[in-house]
Amino acid sequence: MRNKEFIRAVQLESGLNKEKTALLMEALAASISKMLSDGDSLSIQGFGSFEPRKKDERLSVNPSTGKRFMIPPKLVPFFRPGSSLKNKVKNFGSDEQ
Amino acid sequence: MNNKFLLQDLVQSILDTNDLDRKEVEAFVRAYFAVIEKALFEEDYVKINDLGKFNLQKVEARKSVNVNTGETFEIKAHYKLAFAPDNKLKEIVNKPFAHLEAVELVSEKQSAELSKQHVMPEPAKASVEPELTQEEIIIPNKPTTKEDKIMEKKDKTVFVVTDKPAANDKKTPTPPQKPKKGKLLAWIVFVVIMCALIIFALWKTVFSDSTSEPAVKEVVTESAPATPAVEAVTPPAPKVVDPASWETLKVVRLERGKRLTLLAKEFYGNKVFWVYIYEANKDQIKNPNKILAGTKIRIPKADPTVIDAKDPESVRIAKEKETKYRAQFSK
Repeated sequence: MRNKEFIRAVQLESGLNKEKTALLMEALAASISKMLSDGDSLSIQGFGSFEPRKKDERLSVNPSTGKRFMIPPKLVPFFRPGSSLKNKVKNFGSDEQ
Repeated sequence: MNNKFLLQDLVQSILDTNDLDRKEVEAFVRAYFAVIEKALFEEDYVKINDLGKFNLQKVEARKSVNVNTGETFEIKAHYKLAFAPDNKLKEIVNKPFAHLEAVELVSEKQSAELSKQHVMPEPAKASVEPELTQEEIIIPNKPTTKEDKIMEKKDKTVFVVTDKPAANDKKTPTPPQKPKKGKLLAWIVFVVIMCALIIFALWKTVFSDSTSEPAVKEVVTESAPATPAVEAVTPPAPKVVDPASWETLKVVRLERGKRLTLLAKEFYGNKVFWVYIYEANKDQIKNPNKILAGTKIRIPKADPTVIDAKDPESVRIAKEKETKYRAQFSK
């Protein structure tokens, strides 16, 4: 599902008008970004949680030139699905068969 | 930092920045996540701008073992939910580390020093060692230009002898510090040996350029009574290799998908010797990475003093050339 289709679906589901939905879409993404960049995590009941995670620095070698690089540490946004969603996803295929 | 926010906090933070009705925002947020969930099962993926992409990934069935009973059982094929964050979100989150860049580690020596600093914060010990081996090498060193095979062997044995105690030295002080890091220790020893090898190679080249008189005399009196005989045995110095002048062993028409490395493996027994095939055909090959199919490649007859798959030294020289060419043509 693409972004446009998603906005449309959310609009139908929530019953809000187009302008408000568009505004809220941006506001929500901005809020999540802010929380994660402040080092906070956000958990949504029944869905999962977003959290920032630190990846340690590592050594990497370019196989074609043999050059060695030290890749710096970084923070990445991480999503952990909640247990109910996880189980639903897990059993997704087997229900169909 | 490290706060755990819930849906209510998310709603509140949206309300802080916008002048909207709380009920509407709440309805929106709930709808937002409900739609993601619903859409996942209908279309396998949901892409949201500024946030990222949720994706259903299939995990193939695999065998596993019950740790308690030792029984094997099959984990059935299932799906898992993956989230790939949008670049914008990634950038925002990574802001504290954004100024950091990947650093290239120039040589093996440097990385070795770096790892040493990581393991033990006594640079004194680390720096003393290479110097020691270096000194030991200088003493028996002599000009490579007039070097015969016996000399070379002798040189090597001296080198090995001096190197081993250095390695042993290292073993004794470290275990009490880090008893668990046996692997790391072995690695360090290996790196030290590599460093010594590089220094040794450097010295060799330096000395072959500037022949020092006294050293020559010493060498001659020491091992060979008849000087002319020594010179007669002298093999061609490995530094001035010109495969272009070698006899032709065979001329091969390069087929599609064939590479110089494959030819080298076929004719010389080790793929690193492709550099000599390239050197012999420099007039034909502009870039060894891109050779036109059908190009006639002259395979030079292998000079056993230069190309010997069993001799680690000749493999090493070929490898040096290889890295040189790689760097030259990868640009």
